[in-house]
Amino acid sequence: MNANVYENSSSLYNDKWVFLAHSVALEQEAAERMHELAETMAVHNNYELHELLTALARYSESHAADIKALCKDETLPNFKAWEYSWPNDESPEIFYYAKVHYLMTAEDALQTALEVELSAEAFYKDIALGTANPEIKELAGAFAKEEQEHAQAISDQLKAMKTASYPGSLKALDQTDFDPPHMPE
Amino acid sequence: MMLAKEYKSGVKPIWCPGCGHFAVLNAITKAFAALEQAPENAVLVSGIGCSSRLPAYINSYGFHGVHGRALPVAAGLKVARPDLNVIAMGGDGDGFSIGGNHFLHACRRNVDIVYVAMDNEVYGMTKGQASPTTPEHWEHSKLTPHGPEVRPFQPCAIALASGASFIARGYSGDPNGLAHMLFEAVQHPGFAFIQVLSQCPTFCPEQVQWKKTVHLEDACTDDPVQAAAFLHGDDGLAKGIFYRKPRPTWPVQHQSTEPVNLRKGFEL
Repeated sequence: MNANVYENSSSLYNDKWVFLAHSVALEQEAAERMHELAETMAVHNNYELHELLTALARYSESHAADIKALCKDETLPNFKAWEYSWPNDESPEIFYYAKVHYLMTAEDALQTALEVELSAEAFYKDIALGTANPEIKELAGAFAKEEQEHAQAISDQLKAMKTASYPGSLKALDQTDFDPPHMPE
Repeated sequence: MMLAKEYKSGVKPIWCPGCGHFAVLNAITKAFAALEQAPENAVLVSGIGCSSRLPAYINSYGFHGVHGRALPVAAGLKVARPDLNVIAMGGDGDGFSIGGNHFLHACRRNVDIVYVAMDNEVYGMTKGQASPTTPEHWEHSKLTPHGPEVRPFQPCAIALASGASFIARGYSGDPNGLAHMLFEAVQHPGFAFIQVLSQCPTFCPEQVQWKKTVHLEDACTDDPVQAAAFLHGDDGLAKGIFYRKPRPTWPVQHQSTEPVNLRKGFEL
């Protein structure tokens, strides 16, 4: 069911407005998912992750606003959710649900954030390389560079966290759960 | 025109982080946005369980019903108010165990509703017991230390055998594909069943591997024999619409639209 209208077409590579519609959706979906996760973490009393994910969501929201500003008064194509040409099931900058766990730490969240930023960078780089349209090439190149900068910022945060002897990731903690969901039956 | 996120109510989900049901919630809002669904003309009906909380999170009418009874409530509502879009939902325990009999007869009657079964192969709300769709050798519950040791229930094959006219399987790791499926299901005239592989990261963390193993199958047919052959050979991890064949819905519309005057028959 993921086959979409533009999957086999070259609109994403040839039509500036189709490209910009994807760019806006990429950032908006990333922000919405991040806010959703942040709220879930708050519901589960993990306020540290709530704050971190909210900050990451705002980052994506501000990037979406910048891209929308580029469109000025132009109305972007209105695609249904499944009509976007993403390389995978969802947009490249989105936190997959499979990456999230109730025991995840800030380090885990940043590690996933780094992966999705790199995935978005690869998406834009692929378009910049594959398009013959000079406007799209320039925009995609600039967006790829921005995503690379975001990735670098997150990578620096991760390094700082490790230097500060932060408790570590879920894996490093050996998945220790002092309040496990499996109750004695 | 409403945006997908505007179909969410202000109630914050209390599902575990990483729960597949979030994806189903997002898929429903995306499908509603694509359908331009008026919130006041949609009703979500559920039973009991983690997934059955979903109607509270959508900006439309909702009914959080009795365990296993989402389908009779939804069918009754549709018969009384055929103008509404009625979506029943729940989990594998709710729908295939206590609600199993209702499932068979809902498929058979072919009332024009959608049924979304969020299948995580476990009773999550009660802390991780085996459900009807739990794999035979799943040993994570102390109640079934050797696994349930029975073959899992096959929802899509049973739906076909019972007469469902639209049968599909979605995956929570693909909310956009699932939204497309829901978009099609809502427009299908008759009982549309969607089994959603919806991971439970808390009690079945191994289900995160579904991201690698779930695969798209372009197997849609209107031939029940072909659909049966596919579903009986299926590994349970194929996603797609497997069967779609409209047939007359229930209740049957008779020529006379005059309501029967029962009082008249008892007049002295």
